[in-house]
Amino acid sequence: MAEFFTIAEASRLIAAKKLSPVELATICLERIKAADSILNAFLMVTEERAIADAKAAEARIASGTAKGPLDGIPIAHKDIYNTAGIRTTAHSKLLQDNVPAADSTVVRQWRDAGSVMMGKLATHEFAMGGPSFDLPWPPARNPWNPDHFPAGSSSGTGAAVAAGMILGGTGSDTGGSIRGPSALCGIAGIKPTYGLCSRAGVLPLSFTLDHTGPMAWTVEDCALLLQAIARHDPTDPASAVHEAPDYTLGIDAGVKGLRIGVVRHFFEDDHPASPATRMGIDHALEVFEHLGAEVREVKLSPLADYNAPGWLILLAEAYAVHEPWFKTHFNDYGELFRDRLALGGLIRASDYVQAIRRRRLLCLELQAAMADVDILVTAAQPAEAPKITEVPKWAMLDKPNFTIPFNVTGNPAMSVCTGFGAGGLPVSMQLVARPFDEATLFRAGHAYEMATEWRKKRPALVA
Amino acid sequence: MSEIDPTAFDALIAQTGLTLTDAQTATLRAAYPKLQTMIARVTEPLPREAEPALIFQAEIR
Amino acid sequence: MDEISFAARVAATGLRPKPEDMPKLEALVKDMDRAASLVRGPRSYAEEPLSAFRLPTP
Repeated sequence: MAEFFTIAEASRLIAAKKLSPVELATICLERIKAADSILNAFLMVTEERAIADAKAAEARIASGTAKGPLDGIPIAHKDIYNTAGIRTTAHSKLLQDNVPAADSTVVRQWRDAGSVMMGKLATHEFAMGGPSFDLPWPPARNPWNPDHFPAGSSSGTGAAVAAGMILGGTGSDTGGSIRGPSALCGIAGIKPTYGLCSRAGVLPLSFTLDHTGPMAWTVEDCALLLQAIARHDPTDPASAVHEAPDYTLGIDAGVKGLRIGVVRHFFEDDHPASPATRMGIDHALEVFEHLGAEVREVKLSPLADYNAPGWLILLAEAYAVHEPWFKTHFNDYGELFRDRLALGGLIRASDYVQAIRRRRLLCLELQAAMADVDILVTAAQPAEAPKITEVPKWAMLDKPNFTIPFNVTGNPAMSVCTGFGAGGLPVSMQLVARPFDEATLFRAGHAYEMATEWRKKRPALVA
Repeated sequence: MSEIDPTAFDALIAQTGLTLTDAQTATLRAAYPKLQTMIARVTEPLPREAEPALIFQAEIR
Repeated sequence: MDEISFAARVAATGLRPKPEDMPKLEALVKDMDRAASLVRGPRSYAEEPLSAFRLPTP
Protein backbone atom coordinates (compact mmCIF):
# COMPACT_ATOMS: atom_id res chain seq x y z
CA MET A 1 0.00 0.00 0.00
CA ALA A 2 1.11 3.56 -0.75
CA GLU A 3 2.37 5.86 1.93
CA PHE A 4 -0.03 8.06 3.94
CA PHE A 5 0.65 11.78 4.06
CA THR A 6 -0.63 14.48 6.34
CA ILE A 7 -1.35 17.84 4.73
CA ALA A 8 1.66 19.38 6.47
CA GLU A 9 3.98 16.63 5.17
CA ALA A 10 2.55 16.59 1.64
CA SER A 11 2.69 20.38 1.47
CA ARG A 12 6.39 20.44 2.37
CA LEU A 13 7.18 17.68 -0.15
CA ILE A 14 5.16 19.37 -2.90
CA ALA A 15 6.87 22.71 -2.26
CA ALA A 16 10.25 20.95 -2.42
CA LYS A 17 9.15 19.27 -5.70
CA LYS A 18 9.63 15.85 -4.08
CA LEU A 19 5.97 14.91 -4.44
CA SER A 20 3.80 15.70 -7.43
CA PRO A 21 0.17 16.75 -6.83
CA VAL A 22 -0.84 14.41 -9.70
CA GLU A 23 0.95 11.51 -8.01
CA LEU A 24 -0.73 12.35 -4.70
CA ALA A 25 -4.19 12.62 -6.27
CA THR A 26 -3.62 9.29 -8.01
CA ILE A 27 -2.71 7.60 -4.70
CA CYS A 28 -5.97 8.91 -3.21
CA LEU A 29 -8.03 7.87 -6.24
CA GLU A 30 -6.57 4.36 -6.04
CA ARG A 31 -7.46 4.13 -2.38
CA ILE A 32 -11.01 5.25 -3.18
CA LYS A 33 -11.24 2.56 -5.87
CA ALA A 34 -9.91 -0.07 -3.48
CA ALA A 35 -11.98 0.68 -0.39
CA ASP A 36 -14.99 2.84 -1.14
CA SER A 37 -17.20 -0.04 -2.24
CA ILE A 38 -16.97 -1.08 1.44
CA LEU A 39 -16.97 2.34 3.10
CA ASN A 40 -19.48 4.30 0.94
CA ALA A 41 -17.71 7.51 1.94
CA PHE A 42 -18.26 9.16 -1.46
CA LEU A 43 -21.57 9.96 -3.11
CA MET A 44 -19.64 11.12 -6.18
CA VAL A 45 -15.97 10.90 -7.12
CA THR A 46 -14.97 13.77 -9.41
CA GLU A 47 -11.94 12.03 -10.92
CA GLU A 48 -11.57 14.23 -14.00
CA ARG A 49 -11.84 17.38 -11.92
CA ALA A 50 -9.30 15.99 -9.44
CA ILE A 51 -6.73 15.26 -12.13
CA ALA A 52 -7.32 18.67 -13.74
CA ASP A 53 -6.93 20.43 -10.37
CA ALA A 54 -3.79 18.42 -9.62
CA LYS A 55 -2.26 19.24 -13.02
CA ALA A 56 -2.99 22.93 -12.49
CA ALA A 57 -1.33 22.76 -9.07
CA GLU A 58 1.66 21.00 -10.57
CA ALA A 59 2.00 23.74 -13.19
CA ARG A 60 1.92 26.42 -10.48
CA ILE A 61 4.59 24.65 -8.44
CA ALA A 62 6.77 24.26 -11.54
CA SER A 63 6.40 27.94 -12.44
CA GLY A 64 7.03 29.15 -8.89
CA THR A 65 3.51 30.52 -8.44
CA ALA A 66 2.30 28.08 -5.77
CA LYS A 67 -0.65 29.33 -3.73
CA GLY A 68 0.39 28.12 -0.29
CA PRO A 69 0.13 25.07 1.96
CA LEU A 70 -3.12 23.74 0.44
CA ASP A 71 -1.87 23.87 -3.15
CA GLY A 72 -2.15 20.36 -4.62
CA ILE A 73 -3.78 18.85 -1.51
CA PRO A 74 -6.63 16.35 -2.16
CA ILE A 75 -9.82 17.27 -0.33
CA ALA A 76 -13.55 16.60 -0.68
CA HIS A 77 -16.76 18.19 0.48
CA LYS A 78 -19.68 16.99 2.56
CA ASP A 79 -22.63 16.86 0.18
CA ILE A 80 -24.47 19.77 1.77
CA TYR A 81 -21.84 22.22 0.46
CA ASN A 82 -22.93 23.71 -2.87
CA THR A 83 -20.48 22.96 -5.67
CA ALA A 84 -20.90 24.80 -8.99
CA GLY A 85 -21.99 22.43 -11.73
CA ILE A 86 -21.58 19.40 -9.45
CA ARG A 87 -24.57 17.64 -7.92
CA THR A 88 -25.25 18.54 -4.27
CA THR A 89 -27.81 16.18 -2.75
CA ALA A 90 -27.74 16.39 1.06
CA HIS A 91 -27.85 12.57 0.67
CA SER A 92 -31.57 12.91 0.00
CA LYS A 93 -33.99 11.77 -2.69
CA LEU A 94 -35.44 15.28 -2.58
CA LEU A 95 -32.26 16.82 -3.99
CA GLN A 96 -30.89 13.93 -6.02
CA ASP A 97 -30.88 16.07 -9.19
CA ASN A 98 -29.87 19.35 -7.58
CA VAL A 99 -26.95 21.00 -9.39
CA PRO A 100 -26.03 24.38 -7.87
CA ALA A 101 -24.90 27.24 -10.06
CA ALA A 102 -22.27 28.52 -7.63
CA ASP A 103 -19.81 27.22 -5.07
CA SER A 104 -20.46 27.81 -1.38
CA THR A 105 -18.01 30.30 0.12
CA VAL A 106 -15.90 27.64 1.87
CA VAL A 107 -15.68 25.51 -1.30
CA ARG A 108 -14.53 28.58 -3.21
CA GLN A 109 -11.97 29.50 -0.53
CA TRP A 110 -10.37 26.04 -0.57
CA ARG A 111 -10.44 26.01 -4.38
CA ASP A 112 -8.74 29.44 -4.44
CA ALA A 113 -6.11 28.01 -2.07
CA GLY A 114 -5.21 25.44 -4.74
CA SER A 115 -6.75 22.29 -3.25
CA VAL A 116 -7.63 19.31 -5.43
CA MET A 117 -11.35 18.44 -5.34
CA MET A 118 -11.87 14.68 -5.22
CA GLY A 119 -15.65 14.58 -4.90
CA LYS A 120 -18.73 14.83 -2.69
CA LEU A 121 -19.03 12.95 0.57
CA ALA A 122 -21.78 11.02 2.30
CA THR A 123 -23.72 12.71 5.07
CA HIS A 124 -26.77 11.92 7.13
CA GLU A 125 -29.83 13.07 5.19
CA PHE A 126 -29.93 16.88 5.46
CA ALA A 127 -27.23 16.54 8.14
CA MET A 128 -29.53 14.80 10.63
CA GLY A 129 -31.21 11.64 9.33
CA GLY A 130 -28.79 8.77 9.69
CA PRO A 131 -27.51 6.17 9.50
CA SER A 132 -30.31 5.49 6.99
CA PHE A 133 -30.75 2.48 4.74
CA ASP A 134 -33.77 3.83 2.82
CA LEU A 135 -32.04 6.63 0.87
CA PRO A 136 -30.77 6.61 -2.74
CA TRP A 137 -27.22 5.97 -1.43
CA PRO A 138 -26.06 3.71 1.42
CA PRO A 139 -24.64 5.21 4.63
CA ALA A 140 -20.88 5.60 5.08
CA ARG A 141 -19.18 3.03 7.30
CA ASN A 142 -16.37 3.14 9.82
CA PRO A 143 -12.96 2.29 8.28
CA TRP A 144 -11.73 0.77 11.56
CA ASN A 145 -14.53 -1.80 11.26
CA PRO A 146 -17.11 -1.42 8.49
CA ASP A 147 -19.81 -3.11 10.58
CA HIS A 148 -19.67 -0.05 12.80
CA PHE A 149 -21.05 3.46 12.69
CA PRO A 150 -18.72 6.31 11.64
CA ALA A 151 -21.04 8.77 13.46
CA GLY A 152 -22.51 11.70 11.60
CA SER A 153 -23.58 13.71 10.07
CA SER A 154 -20.18 14.35 8.40
CA SER A 155 -19.84 10.59 8.13
CA GLY A 156 -18.26 10.42 4.67
CA THR A 157 -15.61 12.98 5.63
CA GLY A 158 -14.69 11.04 8.79
CA ALA A 159 -14.43 7.75 6.91
CA ALA A 160 -12.58 9.16 3.88
CA VAL A 161 -9.98 11.04 5.95
CA ALA A 162 -9.30 8.07 8.26
CA ALA A 163 -8.93 5.78 5.24
CA GLY A 164 -6.50 8.19 3.54
CA MET A 165 -8.78 8.72 0.53
CA ILE A 166 -8.44 12.46 1.07
CA LEU A 167 -6.12 14.48 3.30
CA GLY A 168 -8.87 16.74 4.60
CA GLY A 169 -12.50 17.57 4.05
CA THR A 170 -15.36 19.76 5.03
CA GLY A 171 -17.81 18.93 7.78
CA SER A 172 -20.64 20.86 9.30
CA ASP A 173 -21.58 20.80 12.95
CA THR A 174 -25.00 21.68 14.41
CA GLY A 175 -25.02 19.31 17.39
CA GLY A 176 -21.67 17.55 16.95
CA SER A 177 -21.55 16.54 13.29
CA ILE A 178 -17.85 17.40 12.87
CA ARG A 179 -16.67 16.25 16.30
CA GLY A 180 -18.73 13.02 16.41
CA PRO A 181 -17.38 11.43 13.22
CA SER A 182 -13.91 12.79 13.94
CA ALA A 183 -14.05 11.02 17.32
CA LEU A 184 -15.44 7.69 16.09
CA CYS A 185 -13.19 7.59 13.01
CA GLY A 186 -10.08 8.49 15.03
CA ILE A 187 -9.18 11.75 13.29
CA ALA A 188 -9.12 15.45 14.28
CA GLY A 189 -12.02 17.79 13.59
CA ILE A 190 -12.74 21.32 14.70
CA LYS A 191 -16.01 23.14 15.06
CA PRO A 192 -14.72 26.71 14.95
CA THR A 193 -16.29 29.62 16.81
CA TYR A 194 -19.79 30.47 15.55
CA GLY A 195 -19.37 33.14 12.90
CA LEU A 196 -15.70 32.42 12.12
CA CYS A 197 -16.33 30.43 8.91
CA SER A 198 -19.00 31.16 6.35
CA ARG A 199 -22.20 29.13 6.14
CA ALA A 200 -23.20 30.76 2.83
CA GLY A 201 -24.07 28.17 0.20
CA VAL A 202 -24.28 25.33 2.70
CA LEU A 203 -27.71 23.72 3.14
CA PRO A 204 -28.95 24.88 6.53
CA LEU A 205 -30.08 22.57 9.31
CA SER A 206 -30.44 25.12 12.11
CA PHE A 207 -29.40 28.69 11.32
CA THR A 208 -28.17 29.67 14.77
CA LEU A 209 -26.38 26.40 15.59
CA ASP A 210 -24.83 25.51 12.20
CA HIS A 211 -21.06 25.74 11.91
CA THR A 212 -18.79 24.87 8.99
CA GLY A 213 -15.31 23.53 9.62
CA PRO A 214 -12.51 21.17 8.63
CA MET A 215 -11.69 17.55 9.45
CA ALA A 216 -8.26 15.99 8.90
CA TRP A 217 -5.86 13.35 10.20
CA THR A 218 -4.03 15.73 12.54
CA VAL A 219 -4.70 18.87 14.54
CA GLU A 220 -1.99 20.68 12.56
CA ASP A 221 -3.79 19.81 9.31
CA CYS A 222 -7.03 21.21 10.73
CA ALA A 223 -5.15 24.45 11.45
CA LEU A 224 -3.91 24.63 7.85
CA LEU A 225 -7.39 23.98 6.46
CA LEU A 226 -9.08 26.44 8.83
CA GLN A 227 -6.60 29.19 7.93
CA ALA A 228 -8.03 29.35 4.40
CA ILE A 229 -11.65 29.75 5.55
CA ALA A 230 -11.44 31.78 8.77
CA ARG A 231 -12.55 35.10 7.34
CA HIS A 232 -15.49 37.43 7.20
CA ASP A 233 -18.11 36.76 4.54
CA PRO A 234 -20.68 39.51 4.01
CA THR A 235 -23.03 37.00 2.38
CA ASP A 236 -23.42 35.12 5.69
CA PRO A 237 -25.45 37.30 8.08
CA ALA A 238 -23.86 35.65 11.14
CA SER A 239 -20.30 36.02 9.88
CA ALA A 240 -18.04 37.70 12.45
CA VAL A 241 -15.80 40.61 11.60
CA HIS A 242 -12.67 39.10 13.02
CA GLU A 243 -9.14 38.85 11.76
CA ALA A 244 -7.83 35.34 12.34
CA PRO A 245 -4.25 34.96 13.55
CA ASP A 246 -1.73 32.68 11.84
CA TYR A 247 -2.77 29.37 13.41
CA THR A 248 0.49 27.57 12.62
CA LEU A 249 2.71 30.28 14.09
CA GLY A 250 2.44 29.22 17.75
CA ILE A 251 1.25 25.66 17.24
CA ASP A 252 4.58 24.22 18.43
CA ALA A 253 4.67 26.38 21.57
CA GLY A 254 3.56 23.51 23.82
CA VAL A 255 1.22 23.71 26.79
CA LYS A 256 3.61 24.90 29.50
CA GLY A 257 1.69 27.31 31.70
CA LEU A 258 -1.66 26.57 30.05
CA ARG A 259 -4.58 26.30 32.49
CA ILE A 260 -6.76 23.32 31.62
CA GLY A 261 -10.19 22.74 33.16
CA VAL A 262 -11.68 19.25 33.05
CA VAL A 263 -15.47 19.01 32.98
CA ARG A 264 -15.51 15.60 34.65
CA HIS A 265 -19.17 15.46 35.66
CA PHE A 266 -20.23 15.50 31.98
CA PHE A 267 -18.65 12.09 31.30
CA GLU A 268 -18.63 10.56 34.80
CA ASP A 269 -22.09 11.45 36.15
CA ASP A 270 -24.31 13.13 33.55
CA HIS A 271 -23.62 10.55 30.81
CA PRO A 272 -21.09 8.00 32.03
CA ALA A 273 -18.57 7.26 29.28
CA SER A 274 -16.86 3.92 28.63
CA PRO A 275 -13.77 2.94 30.64
CA ALA A 276 -11.58 3.35 27.52
CA THR A 277 -12.93 6.88 26.89
CA ARG A 278 -12.33 7.87 30.52
CA MET A 279 -8.90 6.27 30.56
CA GLY A 280 -8.02 8.15 27.35
CA ILE A 281 -9.03 11.47 28.88
CA ASP A 282 -7.20 10.76 32.14
CA HIS A 283 -4.08 9.81 30.21
CA ALA A 284 -4.33 12.99 28.12
CA LEU A 285 -4.58 15.08 31.29
CA GLU A 286 -1.41 13.35 32.59
CA VAL A 287 0.32 14.16 29.30
CA PHE A 288 -0.73 17.81 29.57
CA GLU A 289 0.50 17.99 33.19
CA HIS A 290 3.74 16.31 32.25
CA LEU A 291 4.20 18.94 29.52
CA GLY A 292 3.75 21.72 32.07
CA ALA A 293 0.04 22.54 31.99
CA GLU A 294 -1.97 23.10 35.14
CA VAL A 295 -5.10 20.91 35.37
CA ARG A 296 -8.10 21.67 37.55
CA GLU A 297 -11.74 20.61 37.68
CA VAL A 298 -14.52 22.83 36.32
CA LYS A 299 -18.22 22.42 37.07
CA LEU A 300 -20.97 23.48 34.72
CA SER A 301 -24.72 22.93 34.69
CA PRO A 302 -25.68 19.31 33.99
CA LEU A 303 -25.17 18.15 30.41
CA ALA A 304 -28.93 17.73 29.99
CA ASP A 305 -29.41 21.46 30.74
CA TYR A 306 -27.26 22.26 27.67
CA ASN A 307 -28.87 19.55 25.53
CA ALA A 308 -32.47 20.66 26.14
CA PRO A 309 -32.22 24.14 24.59
CA GLY A 310 -29.81 22.81 21.97
CA TRP A 311 -32.18 20.18 20.62
CA LEU A 312 -35.29 22.35 20.93
CA ILE A 313 -33.64 25.16 18.97
CA LEU A 314 -32.27 22.71 16.41
CA LEU A 315 -35.58 20.94 15.84
CA ALA A 316 -37.64 24.14 15.72
CA GLU A 317 -35.29 25.94 13.30
CA ALA A 318 -34.85 22.84 11.11
CA TYR A 319 -38.61 22.34 11.01
CA ALA A 320 -39.01 25.90 9.76
CA VAL A 321 -36.52 25.18 6.96
CA HIS A 322 -38.20 21.93 5.92
CA GLU A 323 -41.88 22.68 6.62
CA PRO A 324 -42.82 23.52 3.01
CA TRP A 325 -41.24 20.28 1.71
CA PHE A 326 -42.69 18.31 4.62
CA LYS A 327 -46.16 19.37 3.50
CA THR A 328 -45.64 18.26 -0.09
CA HIS A 329 -42.96 15.51 0.02
CA PHE A 330 -43.19 14.03 3.55
CA ASN A 331 -42.76 10.44 2.39
CA ASP A 332 -39.83 11.23 0.10
CA TYR A 333 -37.62 11.78 3.16
CA GLY A 334 -35.95 8.81 4.79
CA GLU A 335 -37.65 7.50 7.90
CA LEU A 336 -35.03 8.71 10.37
CA PHE A 337 -34.94 12.34 9.24
CA ARG A 338 -38.70 12.47 8.74
CA ASP A 339 -39.59 11.13 12.17
CA ARG A 340 -36.90 13.04 14.04
CA LEU A 341 -37.75 16.34 12.43
CA ALA A 342 -41.52 15.93 12.67
CA LEU A 343 -41.06 16.43 16.42
CA GLY A 344 -39.94 19.96 15.59
CA GLY A 345 -43.45 20.73 14.40
CA LEU A 346 -44.74 20.04 17.91
CA ILE A 347 -42.57 22.68 19.59
CA ARG A 348 -44.56 25.79 20.47
CA ALA A 349 -43.23 29.27 19.75
CA SER A 350 -43.01 30.09 23.46
CA ASP A 351 -40.91 26.96 24.12
CA TYR A 352 -38.50 28.04 21.38
CA VAL A 353 -38.21 31.50 22.92
CA GLN A 354 -37.61 30.02 26.39
CA ALA A 355 -34.89 27.83 24.84
CA ILE A 356 -33.06 30.84 23.39
CA ARG A 357 -33.38 32.66 26.73
CA ARG A 358 -31.74 29.64 28.42
CA ARG A 359 -29.12 29.76 25.73
CA ARG A 360 -27.93 33.21 26.76
CA LEU A 361 -27.66 32.13 30.41
CA LEU A 362 -25.61 29.07 29.41
CA CYS A 363 -23.29 31.26 27.29
CA LEU A 364 -22.74 33.46 30.34
CA GLU A 365 -22.16 30.43 32.57
CA LEU A 366 -19.49 29.02 30.26
CA GLN A 367 -17.85 32.41 29.85
CA ALA A 368 -17.59 32.74 33.65
CA ALA A 369 -16.32 29.18 34.05
CA MET A 370 -13.56 29.88 31.51
CA ALA A 371 -12.48 33.16 33.09
CA ASP A 372 -9.42 31.52 34.61
CA VAL A 373 -8.85 28.49 32.43
CA ASP A 374 -7.58 28.53 28.85
CA ILE A 375 -9.19 25.36 27.60
CA LEU A 376 -11.68 22.76 28.79
CA VAL A 377 -11.32 19.02 28.35
CA THR A 378 -14.28 16.64 28.30
CA ALA A 379 -15.56 13.66 26.31
CA ALA A 380 -16.52 13.94 22.64
CA GLN A 381 -18.39 10.63 22.42
CA PRO A 382 -19.48 8.21 25.16
CA ALA A 383 -17.58 5.20 23.78
CA GLU A 384 -16.23 3.48 20.68
CA ALA A 385 -18.50 3.35 17.64
CA PRO A 386 -21.57 1.08 17.99
CA LYS A 387 -22.61 -1.27 15.21
CA ILE A 388 -24.17 0.68 12.35
CA THR A 389 -27.40 -1.32 12.67
CA GLU A 390 -27.72 -0.54 16.38
CA VAL A 391 -28.08 3.26 16.40
CA PRO A 392 -31.41 4.18 18.01
CA LYS A 393 -33.80 6.52 16.20
CA TRP A 394 -34.12 8.73 19.28
CA ALA A 395 -30.47 8.58 20.37
CA MET A 396 -30.39 12.37 20.62
CA LEU A 397 -33.32 12.44 23.02
CA ASP A 398 -32.41 9.34 25.05
CA LYS A 399 -29.07 10.49 26.46
CA PRO A 400 -27.45 13.94 26.44
CA ASN A 401 -24.56 14.24 23.99
CA PHE A 402 -21.22 15.88 24.78
CA THR A 403 -20.96 18.09 21.74
CA ILE A 404 -24.12 20.19 21.47
CA PRO A 405 -23.27 22.33 24.55
CA PHE A 406 -20.68 24.11 22.42
CA ASN A 407 -23.07 24.65 19.53
CA VAL A 408 -25.34 26.29 22.08
CA THR A 409 -22.54 28.56 23.35
CA GLY A 410 -20.69 28.90 20.02
CA ASN A 411 -17.26 28.18 21.56
CA PRO A 412 -14.65 26.48 19.37
CA ALA A 413 -14.34 22.78 20.13
CA MET A 414 -12.26 19.97 18.69
CA SER A 415 -12.11 16.18 18.81
CA VAL A 416 -8.70 14.57 19.26
CA CYS A 417 -8.05 10.81 19.17
CA THR A 418 -6.85 9.40 22.52
CA GLY A 419 -6.35 5.77 21.55
CA PHE A 420 -8.44 2.67 21.00
CA GLY A 421 -11.03 0.81 23.01
CA ALA A 422 -11.57 -2.88 23.69
CA GLY A 423 -13.17 -3.36 20.27
CA GLY A 424 -10.18 -1.84 18.46
CA LEU A 425 -12.07 1.29 17.45
CA PRO A 426 -10.91 4.83 18.32
CA VAL A 427 -11.81 6.80 21.44
CA SER A 428 -11.29 10.52 21.85
CA MET A 429 -11.47 13.67 23.92
CA GLN A 430 -12.99 17.07 23.24
CA LEU A 431 -11.05 20.30 23.76
CA VAL A 432 -12.92 23.61 24.08
CA ALA A 433 -11.54 27.16 23.99
CA ARG A 434 -12.86 30.68 24.46
CA PRO A 435 -14.60 32.27 21.46
CA PHE A 436 -12.16 32.97 18.59
CA ASP A 437 -9.27 31.33 20.46
CA GLU A 438 -8.80 28.44 18.01
CA ALA A 439 -5.04 29.03 18.22
CA THR A 440 -4.90 27.77 21.81
CA LEU A 441 -7.01 24.76 20.87
CA PHE A 442 -4.56 23.87 18.10
CA ARG A 443 -1.59 24.42 20.41
CA ALA A 444 -2.94 21.99 23.00
CA GLY A 445 -4.18 19.38 20.53
CA HIS A 446 -0.93 19.43 18.58
CA ALA A 447 1.17 19.11 21.76
CA TYR A 448 -0.87 16.03 22.72
CA GLU A 449 -0.54 14.43 19.28
CA MET A 450 3.21 15.04 19.25
CA ALA A 451 3.57 13.43 22.69
CA THR A 452 1.60 10.29 21.79
CA GLU A 453 1.73 7.58 19.15
CA TRP A 454 -1.89 7.47 17.97
CA ARG A 455 -1.28 9.28 14.67
CA LYS A 456 0.95 6.43 13.49
CA LYS A 457 -1.82 3.85 13.21
CA ARG A 458 -4.22 3.68 10.23
CA PRO A 459 -7.22 1.37 9.76
CA ALA A 460 -6.20 -2.19 8.78
CA LEU A 461 -8.58 -1.97 5.81
CA VAL A 462 -6.22 0.47 4.06
CA ALA A 463 -2.92 0.14 5.98
CA MET B 1 -43.07 14.14 33.01
CA SER B 2 -46.77 13.42 32.94
CA GLU B 3 -48.18 12.07 29.72
CA ILE B 4 -49.77 14.60 27.42
CA ASP B 5 -53.53 14.56 27.19
CA PRO B 6 -54.34 12.65 23.95
CA THR B 7 -56.63 15.42 22.68
CA ALA B 8 -53.94 18.03 23.25
CA PHE B 9 -51.39 15.85 21.40
CA ASP B 10 -53.84 15.40 18.52
CA ALA B 11 -54.27 19.18 18.42
CA LEU B 12 -50.49 19.68 18.20
CA ILE B 13 -50.28 17.14 15.38
CA ALA B 14 -53.24 18.68 13.56
CA GLN B 15 -51.69 22.13 13.75
CA THR B 16 -48.61 20.92 11.85
CA GLY B 17 -50.86 20.37 8.84
CA LEU B 18 -48.99 17.16 8.03
CA THR B 19 -50.83 14.10 6.75
CA LEU B 20 -49.48 11.27 8.86
CA THR B 21 -50.23 7.57 8.83
CA ASP B 22 -51.38 5.98 12.09
CA ALA B 23 -47.94 4.38 12.45
CA GLN B 24 -46.19 7.75 12.00
CA THR B 25 -48.48 9.36 14.57
CA ALA B 26 -47.82 6.50 16.98
CA THR B 27 -44.03 6.94 16.54
CA LEU B 28 -44.30 10.62 17.39
CA ARG B 29 -46.66 9.97 20.30
CA ALA B 30 -44.11 7.53 21.76
CA ALA B 31 -41.22 10.00 21.37
CA TYR B 32 -43.10 13.12 22.49
CA PRO B 33 -42.60 12.54 26.24
CA LYS B 34 -38.82 12.73 25.67
CA LEU B 35 -39.33 16.10 23.99
CA GLN B 36 -41.59 17.19 26.85
CA THR B 37 -38.77 16.45 29.29
CA MET B 38 -36.55 18.83 27.34
CA ILE B 39 -39.28 21.45 27.16
CA ALA B 40 -39.71 21.22 30.94
CA ARG B 41 -35.99 21.96 31.39
CA VAL B 42 -36.20 25.20 29.42
CA THR B 43 -39.54 26.38 30.78
CA GLU B 44 -38.56 26.52 34.44
CA PRO B 45 -39.11 30.10 35.57
CA LEU B 46 -36.51 32.63 34.45
CA PRO B 47 -36.01 36.16 35.68
CA ARG B 48 -38.11 38.49 33.54
CA GLU B 49 -35.01 40.31 32.36
CA ALA B 50 -33.41 37.13 30.93
CA GLU B 51 -33.08 38.05 27.27
CA PRO B 52 -32.90 35.60 24.36
CA ALA B 53 -29.47 34.72 22.97
CA LEU B 54 -30.53 35.93 19.52
CA ILE B 55 -30.41 39.62 18.84
CA PHE B 56 -31.93 41.94 16.31
CA GLN B 57 -29.77 44.91 15.45
CA ALA B 58 -30.81 47.73 13.17
CA GLU B 59 -28.17 48.21 10.52
CA ILE B 60 -26.04 51.32 10.76
CA ARG B 61 -25.39 52.89 7.37
CA MET C 1 -55.04 21.12 8.27
CA ASP C 2 -57.11 18.30 9.74
CA GLU C 3 -60.34 19.51 11.34
CA ILE C 4 -59.75 20.12 15.01
CA SER C 5 -61.93 22.03 17.38
CA PHE C 6 -60.83 25.43 18.57
CA ALA C 7 -61.38 24.25 22.14
CA ALA C 8 -58.85 21.43 21.59
CA ARG C 9 -56.29 23.90 20.22
CA VAL C 10 -56.72 26.11 23.27
CA ALA C 11 -56.45 23.11 25.59
CA ALA C 12 -53.14 22.11 23.95
CA THR C 13 -51.64 25.44 25.06
CA GLY C 14 -52.54 24.70 28.68
CA LEU C 15 -54.64 27.89 28.87
CA ARG C 16 -58.14 27.82 30.36
CA PRO C 17 -60.08 30.90 29.19
CA LYS C 18 -63.59 31.62 30.46
CA PRO C 19 -66.26 30.02 28.21
CA GLU C 20 -67.80 33.44 27.50
CA ASP C 21 -64.44 34.67 26.14
CA MET C 22 -64.05 31.81 23.67
CA PRO C 23 -65.95 33.27 20.65
CA LYS C 24 -63.94 36.51 20.85
CA LEU C 25 -60.70 34.56 21.18
CA GLU C 26 -61.59 32.29 18.27
CA ALA C 27 -62.16 35.30 16.01
CA LEU C 28 -58.81 36.78 17.03
CA VAL C 29 -57.01 33.49 16.39
CA LYS C 30 -58.63 33.26 12.94
CA ASP C 31 -57.09 36.64 12.09
CA MET C 32 -53.75 35.46 13.43
CA ASP C 33 -53.94 32.25 11.38
CA ARG C 34 -54.59 34.35 8.28
CA ALA C 35 -51.55 36.51 9.07
CA ALA C 36 -49.41 33.42 9.74
CA SER C 37 -50.40 31.89 6.41
CA LEU C 38 -48.84 34.93 4.69
CA VAL C 39 -45.39 34.11 6.09
CA ARG C 40 -45.63 30.43 5.26
CA GLY C 41 -45.21 30.95 1.52
CA PRO C 42 -42.45 29.14 -0.31
CA ARG C 43 -39.04 30.65 0.28
CA SER C 44 -35.44 29.68 -0.40
CA TYR C 45 -33.84 27.64 2.37
CA ALA C 46 -30.98 30.12 2.15
CA GLU C 47 -33.20 32.92 3.44
CA GLU C 48 -31.80 33.58 6.93
CA PRO C 49 -33.71 34.89 9.96
CA LEU C 50 -33.16 38.53 10.90
CA SER C 51 -32.19 37.75 14.50
CA ALA C 52 -28.60 36.58 14.79
CA PHE C 53 -26.54 34.77 17.38
CA ARG C 54 -23.42 36.81 18.05
CA LEU C 55 -20.37 36.19 20.19
CA PRO C 56 -18.22 39.01 21.53
CA THR C 57 -15.02 39.18 19.47
CA PRO C 58 -11.83 39.54 21.53
